[in-house]
Order: sequence, then C-alpha cells, then structure tokens
Amino acid sequence: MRTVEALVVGSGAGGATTAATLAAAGVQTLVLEEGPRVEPGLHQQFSQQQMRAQYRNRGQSVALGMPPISYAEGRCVGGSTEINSGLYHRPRAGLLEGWTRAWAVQDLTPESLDPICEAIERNLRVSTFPGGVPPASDFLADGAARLDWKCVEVPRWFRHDTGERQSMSATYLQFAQRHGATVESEARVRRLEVRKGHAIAAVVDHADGRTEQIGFDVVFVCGGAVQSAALLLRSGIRTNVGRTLSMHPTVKAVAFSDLIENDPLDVPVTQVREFAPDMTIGGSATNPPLLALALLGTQIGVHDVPKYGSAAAVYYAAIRSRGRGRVRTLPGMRDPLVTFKMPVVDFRHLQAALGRLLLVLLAAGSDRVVASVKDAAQITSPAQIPQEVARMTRRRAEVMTVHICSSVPMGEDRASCAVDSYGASHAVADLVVNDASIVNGAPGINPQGTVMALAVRNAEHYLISRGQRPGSREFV
Amino acid sequence: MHRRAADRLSREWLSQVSARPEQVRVIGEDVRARLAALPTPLAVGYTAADAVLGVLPDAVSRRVLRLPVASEFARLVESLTTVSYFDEVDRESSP
Repeated sequence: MRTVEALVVGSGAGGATTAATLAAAGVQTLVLEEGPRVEPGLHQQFSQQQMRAQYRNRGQSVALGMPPISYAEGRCVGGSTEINSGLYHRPRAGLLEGWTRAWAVQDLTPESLDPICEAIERNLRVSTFPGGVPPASDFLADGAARLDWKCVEVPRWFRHDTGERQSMSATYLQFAQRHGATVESEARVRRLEVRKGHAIAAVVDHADGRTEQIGFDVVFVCGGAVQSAALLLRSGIRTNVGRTLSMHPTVKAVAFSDLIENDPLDVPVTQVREFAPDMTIGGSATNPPLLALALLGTQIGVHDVPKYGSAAAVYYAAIRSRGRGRVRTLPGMRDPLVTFKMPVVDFRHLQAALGRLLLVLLAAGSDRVVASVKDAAQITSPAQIPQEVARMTRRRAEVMTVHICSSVPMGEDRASCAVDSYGASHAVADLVVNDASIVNGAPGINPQGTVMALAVRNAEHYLISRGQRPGSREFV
Repeated sequence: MHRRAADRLSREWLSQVSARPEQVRVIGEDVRARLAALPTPLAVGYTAADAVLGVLPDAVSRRVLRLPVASEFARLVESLTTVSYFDEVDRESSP
C-alpha cells in the first residue's frame, strides 16, 4: 500500500491552496483529482466542448425540488477555478461575525484573514481592468447609475499584461508541485477507511480500472460542497453531514441592445450591490447555446438566436437563500442525490430580484428585455415588469446556481457542526474538510475567495498544531 | 413511433427549426449522451421514463408529458436539444 503524509482529495480552490500550504511546509503531499488534466486554453471558455471535458455531468447537475435548481461543478485538475469567471471577493466581515455567533466558530475575524487574502490576491494577480470595463459590463453599470443603485467592478484573477486568466492549475498547484507535491488526475476516492476513530486510508479508483488503497497520516477532503459531503457519507461519516446545503438561487433575463457588444468568451465584471448581500445582479456568459437556453420557452423563442450577434446578453439576479438542501448517497448510485427546499420567502425574494433585474436592464437602454421564464413576454417598459414577475411561478421558473456551499458546517457546536473551527472532523481524527463545504451559509458573494482564505488558514493551523512551521504564502 | 420518447421529442423540436437530417442524427446522439451523463439518480429516473414513454402510443405519450412530473422530462429533453443544436450551428459557422 502506498502511503503519504498528507492526502488531499480534490484540486480546486480548497484542495490546491491546501496542497500548496502543506507542501511549502515540507509535508509529503499527494493530491488526487477525479477529473482529467486539461491544458488551460485548450477548450473555448463556456463552450460545450469545455463542459464535456471539464465539468461534472457535462454541467447538467440538478438539485431536485420545486423549482429544480440546475448547477455546475468543475471536474478537472484545478476544479471549478478552471471554468468559472474568476471573480474574486474577500470574505465579508459581517459573514464571519455571523458564523462566530451562529455556529460558534473560533478565531475567525477579518483581521486574521486579511494577511492570507493579501497573499492570495498577489499570487492570483487579482485586479480590475486597467483601461475601463468592457461594454457588456458598462451596460449594467449604466443602468444602475440611472437608478442611483450602487454598482461595482468586481476584481478577478487575471493577468492583464499577458491576457491570461488565472486558475489553480496555473498557480497554486504548480507552486505545490515545485515544493514536492504530486498531483494525480483521473483518480476517484471511493471511500475513506476509518479505524478506531482515525481516518487511515483512501480506496481509490483509477481511470485505467485499477483500485488501490493509499494510506496517510491526514486526509484533507476538498472535493466541493456536494462531492465532499458525498465522500464522507460513503465513508460512514454522517453526523451533521449533507443536511445544510446552501446556495444562491439565480434567475436570468436577456437584454437586447446594440450597446451591449457581448463577448461570448467572457462575462461582465460589474455587479449591482445596492441590495447586497441578500441580492446581487450581474452578467452571465452568453454564447449561442447559452443564449438559446435562456430564451427557450419564452414567447420570443429561439429561432432568431443566430441573428442576435453581440447585441444580446444574459444577465442574472441571485439571492441569498434561507433554504437548505441535502446531499444523499444512494446504494448502487455513483453520484449523490441533491435536493433543495426553497421556502416561500425565498421565492418571493427571487421574484423581487427578477423585477429589479428587468428594471436595471431597461434603465441601461435595452430595446427590449425578456425574463428567462416559461411563457415570458418581451417587455419594453417598467410598467410591464409586475406582469412578468407574476408570471414566474415555481413551475415556470428557470432557476440555477453556481455557488453551492455549507454541506459540512464548521464550528464548535457539536450538535450542529460536522467539523471544528479549523475544518477538523468532530467525529473522526486525522480528517479535515477544507473547501466550500465549510462555508457556513450562502455568503452573498462569489465564495471562492472565502474558500481559499479558509483553506490556507486551516492548513496552517494543522501544521502549527503539529509543531510545524508554515512556509511562504506567496510565490509570485 | 420511435423507441425512445427523448428521440421523438428531440426530432419534433428540431423539425421546428428545420434542422437538416445530418444535424438531427448528430444531435440525437448527443442528447442521448447528455441524458446518460446526468447525475446517476437522475439518469436512472429519466432513462426509465424515456423507455416507458417510448412504448406508449404517441397520443397517450403526448398527454402524459403534459402532467407535472413527466413534463419535467420533456423540458429537460428540449433544453438538451436546444443547447446541442445551437452548439452544432455555432460550430458549423465557426471558421
């Protein structure tokens, strides 16, 4: 049996930063990634080819409920960081205070995370556009300005000097490998072996059909909120696991205007934050298949999609849900069953979000807008908005999300939390969960900055608790 | 009558956009692959629904597909066909 000091399951925002932190401190680290290694830039961003190669279930995952909520997860070396828009937010102070109060999370303050965030931002070259935002972003900002709503450019991981987007495979994983870590792709951890209360080994299925056991001193589970919870459940670790899934339910609308000048390979970087953190409005990726999907079932239909060119784009409104979902494993099923119960108050909130989305797109100068709702009509005036909002019933709504978190809550309250304030399992020794699973509720922002900051913090805590000194946080 | 309800729904949708026979074939295969790629609990459920609806007479199948749960199956197949069709069109028109 192969053995390593630290096994990291998953190579996304949580796994890559964990591996880099451990490797920089001299810990022998093996990263296992279920998906393939795909050269950055090989597939066009947001294309169906990319979804086939780098997304789990070809980007067609669904949380069942009324309405069902579609979501996407990365499944490749680097995880979702390889496929998303790379928008970056630091964890909000209010969010951290809320966790401290509600879940008894210790030692979690903006001051303690700020130095980590600063290092992450330098490593990933988090920055804004040097010469002003692209037109599709400006379009949303103009609409917000006309309504006197707060709108900001969200920084993202991007090297503006070379035009390269950043991701875990381009940054943290390379750093980890330079410090001796090994990254193996197409290796799925079926379950963890637990003996006498200690996690001791992983049963790993390789793409070539081999199954092996890999022993470890410690395992960091970093597969994302759905897959990490599923792995724990498959391993018989059930207490407070998979019952508190949280997300940002999102509705969309299509705006038509020559002012948009949509770039099918990019997403708008401006966000309306007037109603944040409970409601956020921004721009989505828009290429012909995604535009058609947004218009499917509406009264204007999809026939003219090829004619719209760059004069149509999809925008979104996302809410912070009060609802909670579940991750369940079923006998004989490879994938978990994910469900989400959206309370009445959330659905009303989502309707209000749709109304505001339509309003800002009209204010921006749209010739017409159409909600991505079954039977929705195109509208040209704010007076028509209430009718379109009322049309969005649970049955007609098309709801999606990209931010799933909170399946393995973190904190000192053992009655409600699965892991402690640093991600260490309450139930099993030598097991740390270190990804979006421990983000204790929908944060109202893109959670990846929060995930990375927590992952570095928790990995450093692990090192210090063993008398080891963390290495450098920076590598640029 | 087609053996699979998904095939029929997909062909009906493609006929509305006047898809060419070659496109119908390629997209039909892609939709089947997409259904198989769904998370396992959904893939199992939809595959069963596909087979059951496929053996029903067309008129009955159409009526069943208007019922709440079955209509989700039709909605899914239409979504997958739409994405697949516009991806195909986009690829054909790319230099």
